[in-house]
Amino acid sequence: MGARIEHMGFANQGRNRDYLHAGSKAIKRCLDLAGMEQEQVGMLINTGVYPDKYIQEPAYAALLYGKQKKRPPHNLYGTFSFDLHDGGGGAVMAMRVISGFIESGKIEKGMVVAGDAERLHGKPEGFALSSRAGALLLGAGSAEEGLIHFDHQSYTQYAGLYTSYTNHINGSLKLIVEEHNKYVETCLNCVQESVQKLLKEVDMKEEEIDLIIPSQSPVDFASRLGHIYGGNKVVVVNDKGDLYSVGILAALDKVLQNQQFIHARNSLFISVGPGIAVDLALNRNRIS
Amino acid sequence: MRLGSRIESIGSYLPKQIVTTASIAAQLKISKPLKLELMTGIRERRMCAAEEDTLTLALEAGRDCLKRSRIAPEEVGMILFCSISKYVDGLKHLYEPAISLLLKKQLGLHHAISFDLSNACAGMLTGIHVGADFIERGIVDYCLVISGEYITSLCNNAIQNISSLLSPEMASLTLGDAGAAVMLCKSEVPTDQLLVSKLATLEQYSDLCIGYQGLRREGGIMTTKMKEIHEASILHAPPIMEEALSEAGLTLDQIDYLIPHQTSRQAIQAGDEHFTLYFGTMAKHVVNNLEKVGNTASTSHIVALKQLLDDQILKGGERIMLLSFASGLVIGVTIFTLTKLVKQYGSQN
Repeated sequence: MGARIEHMGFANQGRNRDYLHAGSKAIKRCLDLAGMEQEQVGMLINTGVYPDKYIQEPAYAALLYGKQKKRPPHNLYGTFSFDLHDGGGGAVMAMRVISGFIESGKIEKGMVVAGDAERLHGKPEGFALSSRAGALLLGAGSAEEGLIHFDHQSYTQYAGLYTSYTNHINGSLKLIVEEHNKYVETCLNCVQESVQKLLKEVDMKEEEIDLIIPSQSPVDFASRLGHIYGGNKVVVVNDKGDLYSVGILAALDKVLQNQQFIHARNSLFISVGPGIAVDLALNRNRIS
Repeated sequence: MRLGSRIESIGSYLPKQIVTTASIAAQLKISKPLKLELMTGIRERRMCAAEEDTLTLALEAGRDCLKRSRIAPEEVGMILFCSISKYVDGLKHLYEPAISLLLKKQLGLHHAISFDLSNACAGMLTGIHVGADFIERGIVDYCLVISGEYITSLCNNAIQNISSLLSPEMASLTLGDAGAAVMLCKSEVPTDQLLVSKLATLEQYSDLCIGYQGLRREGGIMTTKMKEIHEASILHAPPIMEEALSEAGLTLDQIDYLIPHQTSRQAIQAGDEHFTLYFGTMAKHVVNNLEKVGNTASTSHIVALKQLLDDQILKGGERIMLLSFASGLVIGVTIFTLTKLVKQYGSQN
């Protein structure tokens, strides 16, 4: 028994164009849709790569949750939160961690939140980050339904194809993003290899995958994935690269809204990012 | 609750360069001389040399852990990197790729699931919590939880910024650099097992300690409301400790070694007094290794534990509690027993 997708909340960044505002609002919307109080969520994982003001501590998850209304004194210790980072974000790995804690019976509900700071000091020209943030609530699934299988592959030989870091240049902090021209193509190759491994593990054929919910970065990745697996199968929201950490949640939101997700028996989440790290999650719906 | 996992190996690394608290106090631009060593109990701490950084600290600790382990690198199924600082090539703060991935490559953990976790000074306890869950569910057999804290840049920046004793950067003066690593594996023996791992985030206190990158000055800056965070920590820790002890079927006086987060002597003593009042008893020993290493953030518990092993102080089967206080505010309790590892370190007890 793993987890199943229960609710999602989305928000755009406010006047300050900060992730703190958008992320905390997305969490609130998700909780409101679920009719839940924040203390009912056992685990909250933030998977945003670029926090506001380059904050290093506390975990940004704590700051995002701290923006919610104050907890009742009898339930101060209900939620455990932290940040998780895997290539290009980490939403799928966070889903995997939460799914495991639900399976172990340690928590009943868990939430993944993702987004990036739209406004960052010293950001390079042309490197845009979206103003959206998303929150995903997971609850208990079953052996046949929900997130039934996860896989992680990393291709460390390609670690140098994409790097981002901050450095002081002429006395001022700058964000430096370096992407090799082979990066997107290599991501596509790594994803195809990882998908084949997963299909073999679960004894499925490619045709049995009804829907693919991929990262929306790097630029053109989702569209080019559509050329490989079929444009009607692969969800593209906007793959200009700016929906960075939140990309995969934005893709899920799209197919939840248009009901493609609930009509798909087998949906495959594909997360890809620098490393190169590939995370896969297979979701199964019971279709009558 | 029996997690079914244990600590199989521990590694640590301290940079060679020693910086005394007296030399730090002497550089401060404040009117009255500051008795920093007396206040904190820290005589010295280690500081990275020019060629060292977060990655090299973690790498050395990982190598030390693997060297003492019976597990070959290719058998390791998971690596979790849990540091606050992510400095490579000096003070470049790396966002992508994840540092766990670089460590995986350099340590030869070819088959490991890898990702980074960040939870301030509770990072390694969070990594143990998550890694143990993967082991318990049979997803992986061995998990390396690892961290490298290159945080003395915060201390260097604080020296420049502090102009009074009320400065919010005072806590940065306690920091030292270190690397630490823990190998987790399966266990079915209660005398050698992770008994309880319990963590809670009290996010209403999330803004009491904030660390961020300096815009004009290299490295990090940390502002802390020391009094408030200390008071909140010792107020809320006992109920969480109580719950963890109850889950383990233990009382506090059955804990042989309590290793609190190593912040300052005063804070550890105040916590000690408060817990004694709350529980009516106390752990047999409270560990304080501040004198020579200072506050090494997420690595502090493991560096202290490793010292106990190196000094052959622990006896097989003794109960150890790691108590974490971290920005967030995260309070974490990990209770475990060690037997095989103690024997491996050649304890005569």
